[in-house]
Amino acid sequence: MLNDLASAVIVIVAVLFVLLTTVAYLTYLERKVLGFMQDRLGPMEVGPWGLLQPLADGIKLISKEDIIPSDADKAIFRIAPVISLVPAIISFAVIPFGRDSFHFLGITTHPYITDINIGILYVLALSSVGAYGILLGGWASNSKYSLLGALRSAAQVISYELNAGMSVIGVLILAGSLSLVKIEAAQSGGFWHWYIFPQIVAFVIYLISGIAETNRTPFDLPEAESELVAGFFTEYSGMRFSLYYLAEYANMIMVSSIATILFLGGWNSPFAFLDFVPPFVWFMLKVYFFLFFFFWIRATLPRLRYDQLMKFGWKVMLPLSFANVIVTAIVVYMVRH
Amino acid sequence: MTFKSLMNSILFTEIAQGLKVTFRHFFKKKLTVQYPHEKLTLADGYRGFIVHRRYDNGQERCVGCDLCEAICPAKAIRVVGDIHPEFPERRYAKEYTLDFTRCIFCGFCVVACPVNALSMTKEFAHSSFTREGLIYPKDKLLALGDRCEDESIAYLKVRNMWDAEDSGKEEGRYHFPPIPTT
Repeated sequence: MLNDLASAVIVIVAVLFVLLTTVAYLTYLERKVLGFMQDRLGPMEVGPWGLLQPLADGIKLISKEDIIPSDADKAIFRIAPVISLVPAIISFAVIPFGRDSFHFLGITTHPYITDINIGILYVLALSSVGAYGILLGGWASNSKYSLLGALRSAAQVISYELNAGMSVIGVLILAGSLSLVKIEAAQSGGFWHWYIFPQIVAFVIYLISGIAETNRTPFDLPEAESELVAGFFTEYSGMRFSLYYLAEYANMIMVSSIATILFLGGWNSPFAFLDFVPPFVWFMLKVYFFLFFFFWIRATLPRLRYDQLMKFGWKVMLPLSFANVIVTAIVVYMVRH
Repeated sequence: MTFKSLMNSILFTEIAQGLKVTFRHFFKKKLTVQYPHEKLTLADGYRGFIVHRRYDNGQERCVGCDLCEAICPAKAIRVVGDIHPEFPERRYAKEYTLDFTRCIFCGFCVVACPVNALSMTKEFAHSSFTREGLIYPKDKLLALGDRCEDESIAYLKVRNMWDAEDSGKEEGRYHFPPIPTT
């Protein structure tokens, strides 16, 4: 019992530490990648190659004045960033980062916080809770830009979450489980076992929905700078602003992790002779590939128009994901009988 | 919708083309010049801050003729000429102020100056917290000129205003020798 508790605490601390450091350095990485793709250098001044930039940004944001607009709904204004951030972080509880259990201070522990049998459902549920933070923050700010940003965000998150959820079902049919650990284990043994090949349609749909769900370019209508200043967090400043920022980047890592686990085999190595590389490294490589892809897409594509976004979500993605579920179900039924 | 355009939208060919472009630029040489750490080489004809020049013996060249004030399109220059207190046959600028908040760095005053008392340098980073800090009186202009003498000579040479110094042959430019100090 005590051993379980200690192992859980160790993993939670490790996951939180890695997660928050990654989130901080993701802002740096994003600026670097965007800069490089625009023939610029990105941040260079703070530390060697600007490596201490996230630290400087953090100190700046913490030491800034915390402004609450006089017309805002103060209680909701205060709690909204927390509602946005907490689900983004606690959904990492079910992400398996590696395969083997390891020893730390004489305690045996496993590379995930918990393995619940409805893992993917838990993740999807929490990602919808995060939308409430955006919605409440935009409403409580009592500003037209925030309100419009929140409205767009709500509509967008709901319509694309549907697609993401539907595209996951194909994988669930193949793996026969909602537990992320079991889904990963089902894809072991070479890259041809990964679900990206039988579920290529679902993979594309999930990736697009994931970008839309995390409100990133080309689907960053909720925070469209040119129209809505900063969208739902226009009125936020200082630490509360950075909580929203943390939530956005944590969600990006979440979407990348889920895409990795569901479609790229999680911690599995692509070839048997590459098994000497630790599973954790494979997992991280794949996650960082997706994160890089997010930045890459941002550097490439302009923002969609709102009606294009909705039309694409409901008229193209949703029918495709339904078709994918039906076809997968029929094929799996015919193969297994 | 033709079959080809349908395939294009299914396979995201247009987006892939865009991604290819940005990926290529990721590895290209970066154009950024890290300004305070590395600086670009400026051409000799660069029109930076205007300075006053001296003769080799340290005497200031300006004769207070008001031509720079007359030609200045931004009305940045104010000259008050007067008879030289020591040498009654010569004139000099009793007061000379150049307002760099108004100056447009066109270089007309340097062209107008008949005695090559004005020139331009490669100095450009002279910011100030007050407006007064950018209104340069004569002594400040002379001090800047002493510091950037090479640049000011190079400017005059590259703008073809140096001949009068050597031969006095350029029309409209007079060779004013320094006042003999006895």
